[in-house]
Amino acid sequence: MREKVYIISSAQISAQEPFCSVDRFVPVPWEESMLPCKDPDFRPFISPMAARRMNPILKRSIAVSRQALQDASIQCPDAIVTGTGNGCVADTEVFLTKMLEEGETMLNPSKFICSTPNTIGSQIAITLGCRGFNSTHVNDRFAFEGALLDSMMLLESGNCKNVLLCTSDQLTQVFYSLVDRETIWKGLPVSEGSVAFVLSSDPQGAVCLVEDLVQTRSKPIWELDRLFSRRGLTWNDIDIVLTSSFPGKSASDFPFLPSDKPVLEYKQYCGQYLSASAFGMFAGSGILRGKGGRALLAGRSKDTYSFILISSNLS
Amino acid sequence: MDILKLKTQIIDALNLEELKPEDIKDDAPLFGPEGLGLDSIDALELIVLLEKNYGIKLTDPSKAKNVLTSVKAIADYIESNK
Repeated sequence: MREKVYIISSAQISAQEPFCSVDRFVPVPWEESMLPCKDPDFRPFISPMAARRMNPILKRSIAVSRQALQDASIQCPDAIVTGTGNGCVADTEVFLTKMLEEGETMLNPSKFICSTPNTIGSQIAITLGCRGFNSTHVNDRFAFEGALLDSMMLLESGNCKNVLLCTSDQLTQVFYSLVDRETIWKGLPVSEGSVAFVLSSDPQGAVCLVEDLVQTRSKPIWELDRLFSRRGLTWNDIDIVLTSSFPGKSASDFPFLPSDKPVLEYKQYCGQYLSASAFGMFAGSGILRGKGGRALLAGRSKDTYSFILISSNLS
Repeated sequence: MDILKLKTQIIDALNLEELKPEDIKDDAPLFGPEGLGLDSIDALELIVLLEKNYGIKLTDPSKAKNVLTSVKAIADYIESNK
């Protein structure tokens, strides 16, 4: 029998107040701009000597991971799974710039070591002293979904009892200037953020159950029907839909959504970044913690869709 | 050899934001718990610093181990290899 997957705790750093819950979210300014994170004091999470080589994405990733683990009363997880669209792009930019400036000689070792996407998960592991399974999913706008699927498979197989799932992306001036040219980002606040979840196969202390996850290209209605059929659900069983759409765009992005269904466009709270769907699941699980019920997270990037079902019914 | 300048370069290269040049004693060990607590990545950074700022290449690991013991040892090595 496959194990179930529960969300035990979560933590976020974003354009919202650090570590605040969904009931304290306020809409961000919705205009074309750079929207940086509101960072906490990192000193309670990382020693100054360890922090000196870390750029903000690493500090944020470690801070949300430690906060989520603390809330779950877990010191060291069985596995660490990371999702990131661009990884430590600020260090990558510095490394590549220095490579050009120095004529590919005298390269800065710290920036090289810190410039890979894997650095996030490995630094979390080093900080926690975690020698368990560690993998990183770098998959553009669906990095979070890939990391979540990996985490679910680990737990469902029984190979792990708990998994720390961390997603992070960061905003830089260079990245902003590049994405600005792409029409899909045009006119949007480009942001950044880090979210961590502690997932477990044990329901004790759980906030909600992650029931299912599907990703599809071009066939969202067919895939959603299959998902509902597999779970024995209808639209009546869905209490709220959280979409990846920009404010007011859910109906055009997801025309198959029932018009009477409550919809929350979570990017009004976090802006646009590659792994923002993790922020969506943070918001969704927070809503279920307060109100109960079942939420559908609907993500879309061009013709690729993702659907995640979460429920406060733990059975 | 301007040892204050060397300390400032080390602080910048290793991102030792919490430290000022006067906090680093000339002959205090750079590595290990009783000194600044630098590690192997810092050693690489110091080697790059020497080459970049002073044109000195430290290619022999055993020599590097003796040179990178303290700020004074680095300064002496720079002075003798000008």
